Amino acid sequence: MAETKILTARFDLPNSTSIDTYLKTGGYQALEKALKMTQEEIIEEVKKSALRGRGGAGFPTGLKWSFVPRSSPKPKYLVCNADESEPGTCKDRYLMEKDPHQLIEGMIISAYAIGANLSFIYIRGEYWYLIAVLEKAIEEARARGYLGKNILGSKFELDIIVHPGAGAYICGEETALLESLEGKRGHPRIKPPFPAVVGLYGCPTLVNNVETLSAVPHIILKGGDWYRQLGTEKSGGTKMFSLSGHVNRPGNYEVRMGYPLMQLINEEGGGIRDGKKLKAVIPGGSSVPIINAEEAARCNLDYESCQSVGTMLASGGVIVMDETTDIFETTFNLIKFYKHESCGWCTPCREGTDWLVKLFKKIKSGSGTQADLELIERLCVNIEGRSHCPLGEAAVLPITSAMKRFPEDFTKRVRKTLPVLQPA
Amino acid sequence: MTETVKIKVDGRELEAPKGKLLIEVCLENGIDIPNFCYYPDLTPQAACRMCLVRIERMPKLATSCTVQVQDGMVVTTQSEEVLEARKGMLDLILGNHPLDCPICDKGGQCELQDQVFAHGTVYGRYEVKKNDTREWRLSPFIAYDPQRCVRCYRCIRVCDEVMDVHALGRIFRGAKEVIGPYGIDKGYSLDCEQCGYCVEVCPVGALLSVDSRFRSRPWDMRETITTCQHCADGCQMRLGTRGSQYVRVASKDLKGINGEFLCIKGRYGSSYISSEERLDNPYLRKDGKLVEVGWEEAIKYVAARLKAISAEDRDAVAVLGSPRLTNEAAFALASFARKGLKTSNYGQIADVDLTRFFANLTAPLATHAEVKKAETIFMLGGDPTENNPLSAMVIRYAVRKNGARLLMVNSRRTKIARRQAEMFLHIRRGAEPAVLAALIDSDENAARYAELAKVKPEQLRRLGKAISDSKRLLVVIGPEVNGATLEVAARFAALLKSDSREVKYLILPPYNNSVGTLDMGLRPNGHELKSLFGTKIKALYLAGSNPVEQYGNSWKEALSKLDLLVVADLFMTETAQLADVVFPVNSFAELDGTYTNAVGQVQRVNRALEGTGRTRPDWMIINMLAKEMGLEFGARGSAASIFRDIASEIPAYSGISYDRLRKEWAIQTERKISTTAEQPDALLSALKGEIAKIDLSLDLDREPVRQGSGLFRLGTLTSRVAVMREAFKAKEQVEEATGVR
Repeated sequence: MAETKILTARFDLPNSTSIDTYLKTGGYQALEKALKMTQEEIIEEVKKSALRGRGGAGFPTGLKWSFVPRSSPKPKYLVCNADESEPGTCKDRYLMEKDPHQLIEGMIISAYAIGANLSFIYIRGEYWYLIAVLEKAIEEARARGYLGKNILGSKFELDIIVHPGAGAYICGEETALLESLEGKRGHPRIKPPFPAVVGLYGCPTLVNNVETLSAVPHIILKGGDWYRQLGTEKSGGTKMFSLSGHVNRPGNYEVRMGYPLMQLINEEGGGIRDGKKLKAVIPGGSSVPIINAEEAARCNLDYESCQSVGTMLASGGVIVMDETTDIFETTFNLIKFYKHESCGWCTPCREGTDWLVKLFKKIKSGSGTQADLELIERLCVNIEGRSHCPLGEAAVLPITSAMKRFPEDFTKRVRKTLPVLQPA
Repeated sequence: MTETVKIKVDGRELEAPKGKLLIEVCLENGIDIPNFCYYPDLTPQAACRMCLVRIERMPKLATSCTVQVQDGMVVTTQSEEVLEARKGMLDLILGNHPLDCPICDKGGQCELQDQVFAHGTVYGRYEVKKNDTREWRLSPFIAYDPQRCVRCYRCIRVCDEVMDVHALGRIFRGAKEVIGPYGIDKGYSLDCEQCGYCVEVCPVGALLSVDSRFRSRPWDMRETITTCQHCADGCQMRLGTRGSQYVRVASKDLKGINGEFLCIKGRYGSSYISSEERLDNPYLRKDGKLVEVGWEEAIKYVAARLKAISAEDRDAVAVLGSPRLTNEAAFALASFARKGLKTSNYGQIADVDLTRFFANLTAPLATHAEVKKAETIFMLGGDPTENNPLSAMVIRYAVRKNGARLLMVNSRRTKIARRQAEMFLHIRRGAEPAVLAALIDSDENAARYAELAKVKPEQLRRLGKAISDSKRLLVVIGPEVNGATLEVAARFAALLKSDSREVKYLILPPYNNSVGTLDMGLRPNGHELKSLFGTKIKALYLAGSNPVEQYGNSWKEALSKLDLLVVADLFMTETAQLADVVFPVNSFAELDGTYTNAVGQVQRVNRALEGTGRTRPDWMIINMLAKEMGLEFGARGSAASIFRDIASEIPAYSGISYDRLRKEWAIQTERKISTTAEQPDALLSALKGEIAKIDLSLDLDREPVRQGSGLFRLGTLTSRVAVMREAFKAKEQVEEATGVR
């Protein structure tokens, strides 16, 4: 087995961003087919495909689409979440850079399925160089009648607006994204209501990841069943994985769902650098628990298998660490990121991440004690499940998992403490 | 109606309307759920995470401040898991919170202290330095200590939602987040009404009032609930005093007509009671100079002079009160003039003759609580945001919470017109009678009225349609509506009332007791009497008014024509400086009494301070004078007994007593409502004269009303409030110098 190129099929073609290349390779055929289908049929097809949200949460896409109340008198919106900021993840960037029309076609089909006439691509501010690529592609699509009024004579109307973020990780969370898109400070909204019902400007809104939307044309063209059989029963299709860290060939690889993790590292990634031994893997971007080599060996790249070894597939940013890695440093690096990105809205995440960083600093300086480690554990308990949005949880999972799986990297840095008299 | 659902909290079966917030259901049923960011009537935040509870079938602990109750919900608020989570939050909040409670003004009234006390030891034993940040002075009135801040955002929400000012926001991110105005790091200051509501709702000592900081511990201060003496809304407030000194005004947890709302004048405008400038002894003019004398000498002098002048002609003595006096003082003053001096020249100085309104009233006055529930509001003039802030707040509330339709007719672009009005007819100054006439007259004359008011006929038609579409109509009448127009405005409701339409009024008079002093018999005839000074009138007893400051030279000249001018006031005002005798009076904080607010509610003024003992309440000075003059007018020895007389003599006040006021706080007086059918033609002909006065050469006043144009104006009282004087004096000077207002 090797890569299964569905989303990435056009990446190596010359001039892959051009609409001519896209049309020559079967582009916009799915749209033509979709416009002849009913909205229910499209949603049904997506449901059949077992496509799950590629942004990280892995929520079944078809189900999410069916939550949008199409009978609502309010306008509906489609928002493409291109605020790819998860450390270790860079797949959306490639999808937009190499094949923007695939995304646009997916968006048009999705918008048609939920009855949206206006859609947005909320793109990470640092991806400024992709805005031009996307806007050029949108212009081309509009010129050929794939966007605008009366698309391909179907009376369906859609326009796409590219909107850059301003550099906050939290704006990748769908409700914070909507706040930001509305021009407000980006912090997560209270859920429920979910965006499908009350989203952008209070209207039903579907928010999907770039990779999710890019998969839609293939599902429509070749059928949900075809897509599903590419992956596992519950996780259909293929997925892009951003392989990084101590491997010989880091990069983005598209493989079938359920592909063995070690095979990705050893075959696509060319093995661990310098022939070193594997120590740890973060399989789904920085927000998921870290696993050790033994667990990595049992792990396949699908949602269920990852769960079975105590981690998550999430966004598919596979970070590989060899035996020279100090997991304390890794964790410290991550918690600094989360502290920096905490929006400050809720107590546990704002204060908790701040204290975690302070304690890590103390330990790194050599004055840490066993009590500080206990305090870190305690803080993690205090944040997990109690924060307003998943950022708090994401900050904690790498720490708790690292301390559980690699305790010696932490304990070797601290002194034993004398028992402290506990207050009654 | 909303259906009722059954939920189970800690084993207790509760019933509640579906969709109500879980925390509200719990709190109402005596189940305590700690919280910081929850606040009644404000949008939920789910930020502080103190109100976490366990709800069955939910994967995580849920914030009870955002969960709406649903049938069959099973909630645990007291398990070890829940308590542990709360302790955890307290631990995190306390982590960076400075434990400077011994010098914190909130110490003892702090919600964080209370929660820590309730939950016992929190486990935090951080051996790392707390984050330290410096304190910010957000405005001359408001100080902010970010380190004490628990980031509950109550302040931001009251500013956004209740005040509609939007001066505060979240600045920076994560642990560095602070609240403040945009540009806080560049030294920008709060651009707001300075109402201090943010300070009031702050659960901890993060936001504090500059004027009262470091002056008293909460428990070291005596707090007296009393009625504000600035505008006619009559807000209740808690006056904090220590020894003989003013400390602060607070409104937390008050349940009066204003709840916790106060404006800048309510919250910061009372410190003049402890001003150094307060008069402490009577003054008598000797050799052209006012010198301090004892009470006996002053009273004897005034009594003798009044007696002599009155003996020649009883009407040569005039008595003028002020719309700031208590009902008791006004009643004593009127009785003294009518029954004692037997002069017909008594009353008060007022710009709007509200007697014409009350004499022709055809619908009841709405209380502020009723305004909140209004369905359609028709405002003819008035800028309550600047002059009657509580009325503005309840109007905003009606629009925000109930979606009330606000139809506004105003010659100025007021804030409510810009922000809340569904329909705003921007009219020519003085054209209110034309709009009123257009609403009464047949459609064929619409074009003429439209031209008079400088609006489009279509706008007048739409306004008329919206009024006739209403079910419950509130008519708000601003102070620019005067004379015959005011009379017609009062009679207007008779045309609108029907079985399917309820109509109520709200007026916006300028002073705290404009309505009450009128009821007590002080007619608004001051300006008329002024023309008789020096001719028919030789002596004037002036209580609590400062017309020279207010109206300038015309009054100064008129007063100088008098043989005898007696002024009773708090300060050596511009007017008092002209007097022959000045009596020092007690401030509202040093006496008992009542005020009647704009909606006719009687509320108590409670004595909070002893005073120096050398000042007297107005009614007591009258008593002393009458006694010295040998006049009998039914003098009483206490405010309570004067009020008993009021209740028996003035029909609207019958049945009201201090006893009832203590229990009921605010009692609305019953106004006589005319039930005679009105004819449109009669109203139109009454308006004719006023319409003729409209100055057609005037263009529209397009300048928006600036924030603070009324609120920040320094008057006799507010110019003696140090913090306000310092904040606004410089501004006024700049404005005067540049001519830009």
